[in-house]
Amino acid sequence: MIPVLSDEHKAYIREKTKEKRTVSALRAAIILLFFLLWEAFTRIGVLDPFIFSSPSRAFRCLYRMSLDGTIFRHAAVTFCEAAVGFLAGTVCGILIAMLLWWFPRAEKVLDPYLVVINSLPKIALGPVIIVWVGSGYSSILTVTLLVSVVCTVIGVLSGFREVDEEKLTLLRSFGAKKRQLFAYAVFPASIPAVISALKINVGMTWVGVIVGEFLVSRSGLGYLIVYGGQVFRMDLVMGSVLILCALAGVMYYAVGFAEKKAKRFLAD
Amino acid sequence: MTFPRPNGEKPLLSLRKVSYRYHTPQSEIEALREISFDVYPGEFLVLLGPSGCGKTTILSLIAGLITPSEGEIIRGSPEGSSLRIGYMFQHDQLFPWLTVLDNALLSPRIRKEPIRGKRAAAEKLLEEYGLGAFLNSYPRELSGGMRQRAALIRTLNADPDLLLLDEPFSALDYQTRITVSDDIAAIIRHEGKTAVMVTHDVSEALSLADRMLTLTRRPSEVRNVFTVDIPETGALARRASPRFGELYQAVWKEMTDG
Repeated sequence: MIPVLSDEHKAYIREKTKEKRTVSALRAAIILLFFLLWEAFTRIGVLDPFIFSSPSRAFRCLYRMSLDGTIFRHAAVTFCEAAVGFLAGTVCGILIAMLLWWFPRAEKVLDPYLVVINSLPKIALGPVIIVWVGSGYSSILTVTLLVSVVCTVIGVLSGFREVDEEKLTLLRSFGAKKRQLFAYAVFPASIPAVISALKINVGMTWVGVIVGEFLVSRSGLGYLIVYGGQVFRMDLVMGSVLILCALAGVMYYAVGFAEKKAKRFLAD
Repeated sequence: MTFPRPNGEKPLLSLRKVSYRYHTPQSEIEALREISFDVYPGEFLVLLGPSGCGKTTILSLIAGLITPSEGEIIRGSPEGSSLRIGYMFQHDQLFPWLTVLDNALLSPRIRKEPIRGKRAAAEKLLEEYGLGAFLNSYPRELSGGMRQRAALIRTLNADPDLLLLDEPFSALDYQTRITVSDDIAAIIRHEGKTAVMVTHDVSEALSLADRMLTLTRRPSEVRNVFTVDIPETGALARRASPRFGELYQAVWKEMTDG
């Protein structure tokens, strides 16, 4: 059957589409305006291009670096570190949350420590980590892991706890063991909570990776930013930040997409 | 207060002077005081009491999820083995990430029973009760009434000796509630299951029960036992019966007398 739309409904759809387009257009306008003003101010001398760089300089710098491929190499290094750190933080976080769910007393005992560690700026541990695990990729990954793992544990665990008690009673009446309660109800029911935790984790991961690179690395976008700052090449700094924005955006939208899918799958 | 059946039938379940207290850091709360009753095979017993009187606690005691502070619960399943309990709740608690059929197969999966035979049984039950077209649908695609039916079939597929119904209709709107309770009770009777239901709704209790216990406010005691001798069987037909009105008046008077 082909649905026949009433004129009123068509008008409603048109209105919706129009609104969507307006929002997108305004979004694009903001970023465009930002670049235009930045460019204009540096050209007329309101901003010193030596200190603030300018979009044209930043893009030109990126273009030059793309010719010999260096920018791709640095971006790839950072992206890989972020991806590995993100996965490691997520997997470790979920595993720890599972352990704490399994042993409620451990959760009770460790709760204040979790809270304190969560509010502690893990970056403060950077120098110690370099001493412990050496200055290299392992340091960067350790910092990233530290930054992301605690908030994952907290987010995922609260998801595990929110499962309807009656669902567990039902499974118990079927004779379910604790492991089965987890596999059949607790874990699937908290997938949305897990994904929300991942969303926060994306931001955390990038903080960890960039700070890690600030501290130790010889390559990556964080390294380019520090290097550019030291030799006063702001076009390099700004160009790297732009790439960073793009990469973080991609990762965030990927998780957002997964969240949408999961929500649809789990809708009651 | 026990009521042995004249034909000497053995009860499926007996509560003898069961009391239950629970503790909070502030105080000790006496929820149930010396509750005694029997549940006979095949009957539909309703516990009627005001909100917060500990009705759900009685079900948890029966299911063995908690143990009484005093008194005794005797579970006499037909084969002498432990009594298999089936639960139904106010919300159907269907798992939204499983299809209707997979929901119905939860209990054999948990018990690691061979799934093939159980699948056929579940499909047959679902088809028999009008859900044949929805085997592979997700719960969200079903109406509220169909969802409760699916939840009941999931419970029946666990082959319980005793069904515990914890206000299973109170989340539904009034009209749906009447049709769905009619529907669910018919299935339970048709399958020959024994059921204990708790509710605070007098007319719902009278429309479904074979026997009905009224409970007092906390600490809850058994106030009275009614044999619901309404000749009609359907929940809808019962509501139109003159006997329904008489019993309603009697129960209502007792409940409001204090």
